[in-house]
Formats: sequence, structure tokens, C-alpha cells
Amino acid sequence: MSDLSPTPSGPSEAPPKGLLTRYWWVAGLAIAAVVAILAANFASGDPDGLDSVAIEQGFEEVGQEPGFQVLPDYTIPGLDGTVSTIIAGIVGIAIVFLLVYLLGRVLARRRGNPAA
Amino acid sequence: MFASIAGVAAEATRLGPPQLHAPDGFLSVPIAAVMWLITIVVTAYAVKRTNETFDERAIPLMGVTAAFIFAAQMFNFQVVGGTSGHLLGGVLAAVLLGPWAGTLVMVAVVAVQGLVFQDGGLVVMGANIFNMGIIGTLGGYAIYRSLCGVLGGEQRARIPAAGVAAWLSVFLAAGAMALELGLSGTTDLVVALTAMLSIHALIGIGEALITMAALAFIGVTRPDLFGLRDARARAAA
Repeated sequence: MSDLSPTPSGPSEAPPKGLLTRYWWVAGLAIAAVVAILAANFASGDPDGLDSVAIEQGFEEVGQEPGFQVLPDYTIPGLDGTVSTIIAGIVGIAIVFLLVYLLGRVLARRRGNPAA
Repeated sequence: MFASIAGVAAEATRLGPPQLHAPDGFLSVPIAAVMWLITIVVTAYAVKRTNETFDERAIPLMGVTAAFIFAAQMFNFQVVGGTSGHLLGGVLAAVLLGPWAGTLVMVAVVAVQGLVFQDGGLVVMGANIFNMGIIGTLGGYAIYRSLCGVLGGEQRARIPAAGVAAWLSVFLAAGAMALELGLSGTTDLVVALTAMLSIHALIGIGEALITMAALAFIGVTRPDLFGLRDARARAAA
């Protein structure tokens, strides 16, 4: 797992040592999960900017239903309540992280310095 | 008027994050196709530029940024009576990762939202990616860098410059969406522009606050992460 941890690259001061330094990205994902849990409990259910303009101007109904459903509306089908949204959110966080991580792996350049 | 109030009331009873992004049908097929074309060209160029310049040490930050933006987009915050808004995140991604890797993050987030969570239609996904991602990562980043230049360097101006760029990116995204709706014949262009710009002028404040808070948090806890964006440029210098 240590290859996931970036070599410190701060221009001036050395970053703090310890677990949070090496596995800071785990803390980052934990923060994302907390945001998803808070969203499941406290996010406003009101229409967002575009949706409310669509309702106000009467073109909301031209929006089509999706042709297929996987985890529609950030829920796990068959599971009710906030727990459904929490699990869907965490699944989404995992999918997005892995997708982007792999994309980065494929695209990023190795450093010129072999010590990295 | 009553219909709209009833509609808003019906929407308000829904729990959790609502479906947020434009569904298919909001844009005409020609407009959606043009937006897909622009998005594909920009994304292909972003892949090329990322491949040329992106340092592997920034990969975990790229993944975490994408995960955070995905989660934060679920968190609709109340704006004014009956309307909510949510983060777009393009400026945040670009400040941390640069405009090209930032663009790829936004493409991934919006694509997963559409494909897995049925948030945003597939035909209009090109437009959704352009409006919510590319405007912020390319346009917002250009504004951010200009402001940093004016305000005495990125080190000093990072947070205020990112805040202003974030607000503007939402404003521009709303304008682009309104323009696409108007050109599609979905609704009157001027009416759509007025409504979209006025409500998103408020939603943009949320975008600015979240973007500034996230950057301030990184600045306090892990300021070295700011160096990853230009890591290779510095190594080569």
C-alpha cells in the first residue's frame, strides 16, 4: 500500500511525519464518507437551481426518465431511509476514487528520479 | 403559479439528495450533440496534457479530490425558499490538480453520477460535463490564476482568488445551461438566463464557501499537497 502514498514534495518545509502523512488519502476518503453521511441526513430535498427554474417555467416535464436504473437517486433499490443513501454514497465514493486513481495510474508520468 | 407552488411542495417532501443534473429531454438533440462534441474534444486534450505533465505523486490526491467532489455534490444546501444548490467543484479540482487533471476528475464524477446514479441524462451528459466541470476547471482556473497574479501570488491569494473564481464558475455554468436551454427551444432564452443567473448568483456563494473551506483545511493540515499540482514542472526546472 505504501506506493499509494506520495513522496513529500513540499517546496519548503517537510510535511509532518506519521500515519496521517503516509496514509493521508485514507483520511481524505473518510472525510468524503462523512460528507455523504451528513448529506443523507441533512441535505435539502428541495429542487436545486436548475430544477426549480424548470418547475417555475414549466419545462420540468420534458425531462425524461432514465432508460435504466442502477442506484437511482442515490439509493440502494429495496432499501429505505437514510441508510440507503449512505450506502449508495459510499459505493459512489469508492467507484469514483478507484476510477480516477486507475486513470491517474495509466496517465501519470513516473518521476525522473528513480528514488521516488 | 399554483402549479409551481404545488410542484415545489411535492419536491420538498422528497428525502435525501434529489436528482440534480439536467435529464435527457431538457436539450434538443443537436445542442446536446454539439455539447458532447466539445466535451469529447476537451477531454481528449485533457488526457493528452495529463499524460504529458501529471506527476504520479499526485494520483492519490486526484482520487481523493474526485471522491470528495462526488460526496459534496450530494449535499444540497438550502438557498432561498424552496430552492437548494450544491457544489460543482471544478475550481477546487483545478486549484489542487491543474486544469487538465481537474477536467478528468469532473468528467469522471459527472459520468459516474449519470451512469450509476441516474443523476443527469446520458444524451445531455456532454452538456452537464461541460457546464459543471469544464467551465470551472478551465474557465475558473484561468480566472483563479489571473486573480492570483493581481493579488500578489498564489501563496498569498489562493483562498480569496479561489472563492471569487468558484462563484464566477457557478454563474458562468448557469449562464451556459440557460443558453443551451434557450437554443434548444426548451424555454425562452432571456427568461431562462434571468432565472438561472439570479438563483445561481446565490448558489455560487455556497460554492465559494465550500471551495475556500476545503483549501483552507488543506492549507492548515497538509499544505505540501498544494505543491503536487506543479510537481513535475518544478522537478524539471
